[in-house]
Order: sequence, then structure tokens, then C-alpha cells
Amino acid sequence: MDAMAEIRQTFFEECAEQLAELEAGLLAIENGEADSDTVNAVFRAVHSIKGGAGAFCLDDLVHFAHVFETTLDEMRSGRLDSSDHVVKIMLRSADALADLVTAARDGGTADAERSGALINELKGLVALAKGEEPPAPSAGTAKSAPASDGPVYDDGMGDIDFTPVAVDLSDLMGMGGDNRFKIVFKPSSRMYAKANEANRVLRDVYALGEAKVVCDMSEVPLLTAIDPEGAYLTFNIELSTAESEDKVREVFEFVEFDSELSVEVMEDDDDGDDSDDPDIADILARIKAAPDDEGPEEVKEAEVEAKPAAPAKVAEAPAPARPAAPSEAAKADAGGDAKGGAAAGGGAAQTIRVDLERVDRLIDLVGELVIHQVMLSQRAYQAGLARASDVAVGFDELEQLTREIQDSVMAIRAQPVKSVFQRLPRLVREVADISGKQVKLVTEGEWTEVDKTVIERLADPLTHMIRNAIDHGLERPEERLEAGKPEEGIVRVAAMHRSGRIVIEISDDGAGINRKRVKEIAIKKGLVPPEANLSDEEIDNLIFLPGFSTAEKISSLSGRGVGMDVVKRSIQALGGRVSIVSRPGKGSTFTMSLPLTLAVLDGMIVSVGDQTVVVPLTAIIETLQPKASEVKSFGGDARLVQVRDNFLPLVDVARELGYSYELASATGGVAILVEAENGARSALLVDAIQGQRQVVIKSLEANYGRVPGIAAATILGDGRVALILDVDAVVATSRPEGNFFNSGMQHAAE
Amino acid sequence: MPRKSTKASSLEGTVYSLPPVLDLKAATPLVEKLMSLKGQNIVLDASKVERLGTQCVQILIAAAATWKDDMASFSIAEPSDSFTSGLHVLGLTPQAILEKEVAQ
Repeated sequence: MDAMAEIRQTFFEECAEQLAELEAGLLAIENGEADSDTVNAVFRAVHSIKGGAGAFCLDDLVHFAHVFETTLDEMRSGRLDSSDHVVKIMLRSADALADLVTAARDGGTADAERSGALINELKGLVALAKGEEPPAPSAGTAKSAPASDGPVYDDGMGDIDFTPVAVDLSDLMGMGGDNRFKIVFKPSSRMYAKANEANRVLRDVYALGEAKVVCDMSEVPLLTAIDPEGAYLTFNIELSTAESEDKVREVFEFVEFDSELSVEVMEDDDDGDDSDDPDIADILARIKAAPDDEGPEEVKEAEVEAKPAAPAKVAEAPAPARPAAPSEAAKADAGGDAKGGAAAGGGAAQTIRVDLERVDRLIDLVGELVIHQVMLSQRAYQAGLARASDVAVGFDELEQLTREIQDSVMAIRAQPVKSVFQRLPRLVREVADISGKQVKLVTEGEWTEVDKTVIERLADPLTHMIRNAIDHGLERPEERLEAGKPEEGIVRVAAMHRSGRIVIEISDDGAGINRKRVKEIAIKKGLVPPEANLSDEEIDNLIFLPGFSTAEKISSLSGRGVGMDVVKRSIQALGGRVSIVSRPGKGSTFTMSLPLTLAVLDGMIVSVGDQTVVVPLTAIIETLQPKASEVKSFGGDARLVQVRDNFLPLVDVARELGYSYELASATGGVAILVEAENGARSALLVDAIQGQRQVVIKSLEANYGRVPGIAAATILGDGRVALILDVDAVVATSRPEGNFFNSGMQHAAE
Repeated sequence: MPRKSTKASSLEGTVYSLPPVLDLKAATPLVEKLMSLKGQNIVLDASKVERLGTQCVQILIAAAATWKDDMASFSIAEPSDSFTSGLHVLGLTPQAILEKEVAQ
């Protein structure tokens, strides 16, 4: 059932967002940056997951979320302090919740024992907050739940079924609406005084099924007579739900004694065919969502259908969207039109979910548009079009417009690196646990935006580097104390934009690279010749050689032979680079530099031999025509060019790329000053500059294979393929030590 | 019937911008603020509201009835999504609040 699968997918996408929110909120609480909004956001995140999971009958997820939510509620109401101990349990619970979501999504099973243990811990916190003895399930909290065959953990909230989840999607459409209840809920001022909110309770009711709430305002006095903290509203609720009366009453269990409540089973008189579950209805409504511009329906009086989160822009047209009937959504799907949907993401910002493939296709098409626009204008000029003519002006405008379209399309794909950074705290917790080290993670620049493909492919190398930083970089607590450092090590991950690239730094305040040992190992493994005289930087870079590992024993963290060479390769595959700076006793910093996007690039088009090559503009500082007096030769073929007060190595690009074996005359060409990722400057010697333009990157690896010194390819206006230079690689191989280094790598590969 | 309209442009009166957080703690100050505006035509700008608690809703209902009693105009302008959805949960709409009859 396609529509159902889609709803389910939307649910899991939303879960991912909620989990991220949950973790971010908990971390804020841990760092003491939390306010009541943060606690509320955290609570809401767990609550939303619970609500959605309920709709899909993901029982163990619902149960865990329920206990978690109950504990968070204690925190929210101020009865439970957000002490370190408490937040640590919450963070672990968030991890467990994430695992349960993953298990539910992929059909596996989560670690039931761990969830069970956490449930008990959470329950202990609730008891603590209530001033009770930990494991005693009191009458107020115990509730009936169906018996189960699975292991039972005492959560004080009923039985928990940990049998693997089986989701019968075909049943989902038909759920809800079997039982109808008439509920009268009249909160008292005591309830509000205990920081309970009627709207929270009502949200829980909405989560049970289809609820129609009518608010009785008749007891509200005039402003002159009102007690600001009094209670005057009564809520008459008609609820259709698949849940039992007990389940319905459960919603009110925290407020039962502070409100007047009656729950009556209604006779099944009218048809009630609108009985789809609100969560499904909610998701369906969102899948159908915004573009549907039918006029809002009139809502009479204060009667509102179950759609709590529906945004209504104007007060005079406050009708919330009625939840779309499943059949409607199915219809829309059949029309192939329901893929993207708008989600009202809690805040004011309206967002829309779009299948990534669609965006990619759009980007491809815009890329083609750019190429054709360039071709068209080039051909027109070749055919004799005057530069000052109206048509030429039109071409200029078209070019600008195309570029704007391209920028806008690229912006759709741009995402903050936060999505990757969010996973790090958990990773750090786990690695720290296993390695027995105390680690504090500091992240910076998490809102730095970068293309989604880059983000996706960033996660693995980043994970590996952080593992490495903790496992190899940081010392054990006792060693740290000896070295006069605090027991807790710091791993810092920072993202920033730097000259059109995204740079991610992973630094630790550990012992730094043990160069002596690294060199010994490299020699022992035959990666470098024993007599090699290596600089500190070169030794540091040895860890990127394939087959290099300093780990003496294979730990579960690192030393599995998947080394930094894999990290380096995956970063290079992204058109990125990685470098390392290490200071003994102070720690190491790994710096990854990646392109912001893998789709377009501003480049300088140059002639090299009889080829056209693109030099990425981000690397270029300036261009100059060297005079004979400025070029100095030394040591064979090596040449330097004098640029004001500096001498920079002159790199003959044609020779490096193998277009020519002869050393080109320095004075006949153009020197392009470039800055490598490590800040070192060099001059690239090319024959001539043709111009400067934006080019659409076409992967060489996907279409041909990796070529040393070449980052990618592009199609020029005249339809020819031009290669995009990998500046760093060309500069590195041009150096004698670079060549030596390469030979070292070849040795390793053999 | 300008009083029933919620469009800011069609109304005149003192504009009071509701604070973003209208929770339990905001209830008493809200009553005090509204009492200080009693008798004037007012427009409540709800565009900044991010959180809406039930007690502040009660106060807004009471205020609407009070203004009606005073024959002064009372309106809610540009309700934020949070404001509107906060009311929906309670089974209310901005319009419904304004229609509260004076309690006898």
C-alpha cells in the first residue's frame, strides 16, 4: 500500500527530526543553557514520537517513549532537577529511543535489556521526583495494559511488551473509531497550579483517535472578576478511538484528582466514518497539504476538528485543515502528485519535504541550462554578433538569470552541518565509555551550510576521525592528571566557511602524535625506507598511508585496519583534502577542507599545451606574467618565481599533467598564484588565460576513473570536455618530497 | 460590526502586542495590562505569540466579554500559527474568543 508506506516514511523522517531536537535540547540542559522552552521542546519531541508510534502500533517504542515522557514531565514541572545524573540518564534514554525508532523502521529489534534497564532508571527518577520509594508502582501510576509474552520490566506504568514489532500496514487504515467516548474535562485551578496544562492533556487525547473538542466558556467571568490563575473552562470531548476506556482514562491520570472528569462510552449511533487516527490523518493532511488552495472551511463556534497543529494564517479565516481522508491521499498518490508535502514544523517557518531525486534532477537540468546558455552566447558571438547589440545585452541578462536560478537551486540542497554534528555527542559518549576516558565534546559552527551530498558523505570520515581522536589522541585520565591536564579531555569539532570551501577541524587536547613511534612503525611496515629523513609534518602525514596502524591491540574502536587512509580517500573523493597539525603534549588538529557543493565551480579557464584546463577560482590569489629576471632556476628543473618579496615554486602544469616533457619557458606563459589548503603558495605556469566562468562539475570518477592531479571534468561552451585541476595535488606532486612521498605510497600499495 | 472583525487594518484602537510566552506566569501581568487598557478600543497583536497557556486564553475570553460589556472594540490581529494552534487544541478559534457573551 503505497500511501501507507509513504506515511510511514514521513513518520520516520519526523522521528529523525524529533530525535535530533531531543538530543539538542538535552545537551543544552546538560550545558546549563536550558530554559523552560528547551524542556518543553524536549518533552514535545518524545511526545510526538510516542503519538506517531502509537498510530503505527509500535508498542515497545510507545512504551519506552511513554515512560521517558513521564520523566520529562517531572522535569518540566520542576519536580525533577536537571542534575548531571538525571541528564545523563535522559541522554542514554534518547539513544535508546533512537535505537527503538531505527529498529521499528528497519524491522530489527532494539536492545530490549538496555531499554528495560533504562525504563527502571527513568521510573526511579519519577519516584524520586514524587518523593516515593523507587520501585513501588503506586495506585496513581499503575495502569492496566494487555498481558504480554515478552520480558516484563517494572516501569510502574504497566506491562511492557518487548516482543519484536510486527507492523501490519493493511490494518492501519482501518484503525481508530471502534470506541466512542464522551468526555467532560473540567480542570481546576489546582491542576494549573501544579504546572499541568489543559492543552497538554487535550493533545494526548487527540493522539488517541479522532477528537472533537468543544470548549465551554460560559463560566469565564469578566476581566474585573477573574482570578488570573483560576480555572473556568470546561472541555466537552467526543473521541473516536481504537483504544479502550482504560487507555483513555490513562491520559488524564496525572490530572485526575485536580479536575472533574467523566468518561462515558457513547452509543454507536451515527456512522462516524471519519474515524481515521489523527496521527495518520495528520501526516496525510501534511502530505496533501499546502498547495491545495481550497478555501478554508467555516468552523462554527468553538468547534474544531482534531487538528491541533494546523497553522491558520489569519484570524478571520481560522478554519484548520480537516484531516484528509485516506482515500483522498491515496487518490493524490495515484496521480503521482503526493510525493512532496508541506510540514508545519512547529515553528513559524513553513517547510516542504521534497524527494531528493527531484532536487537532483532539477540541479542537473539547471547545469545543462548553464552549459547551453554559454554555448548559445559563444556561438552567437562567433557568428558575428556585436557585443553592444540588444541581443548581446539579452544574453548577459540571461546569463545572470541562469546563475541566479543555479544559486537558488543549490541553496535548496544546502543544509547546516548540524545534522551530522548532532550524531556526534552520542558517538563521543559511546567511545568514551568503551575506552574508559572522560571526554567533553565541543562543537562550533554547526549552522554552517553545505550541500546535502557533502553532508551525507561527511559523516563516515568525521566519525572515524573522532573515534581516532578519543582512542589515540586523548590520554587516559590518570595520564592526563600526571601531565597536569584536567581528567576530562576535550574533543572540539568546528565547521566554518573558508574561501568558498567548508573546513572542518577536529582537534583534541591529548598527547599529540608520537612521532618517534609513528616513524618506527612506518619503517617496520616498510612504508618508508629506514634511512628516510622526514620532517615532522611528513611523519604526521604517515598516518594517512594505507596499512598504517599504531594500535598495538585491536580494540573495538580502532585498529581494525580501516585506517586514516580510508578517511583520506573518502575525503579526496569528495574533492576535499585533509591535513594534520600536531603538537607534542598539546594535542592534534585534523583539518578537512571540502567543496561547498559538488555541482558547480567558479573556474579560470586556461590553456595548457593544446588542452583547456579549469583552475578552481577559490585557489587563485592573483595572476602575473613572469619576467625573465624574476625566474630563478635551482637544483635541476626546479624553478622559483619572485613575486614582490617572496620566492614561490613555479609549477609547470603541462609537465605535471604529462602534456609535455619539455620544460615550458616561464616568460612565454602566465603564472597563476595559488594557495594550497595548508596555506603554502605556489605559482602554476600555464600558457594563457582564456577567461573565467562558472562550470558544471561532472565527475570523472563516475564517468572514467580517477586521474592524478585532476579533480573532475566539465563541458565547455563549445561542447568540449575540459579537466578541472586539483591544485593541491599538482603542487604536491611537483615537489621532490611529494614525489618521494608518492613512491612511499606506492611501496605501501605493493 | 468592527468588534467582531479580527483584521487590524479595519480597526482602530490602542495596539497591544501580546508577549511571546503566555503561560501560567504571564497570566497575572496579562490581566494587569489589559485592565490598564480597559475602556479603550484595543487591538491585540498576536503575531509574536509562541506559547499559549489555557489560563491566558481564559483571560483573553474574559477581556473580550468585558470589552463587549463596555461597548468598546476588541480585536485580535495577525495571530501567529502558535496562537491559532494553541486555541485549536482547546477547541477554540480567535473568532470564537471574541464571541463570548457577557456572563450574567
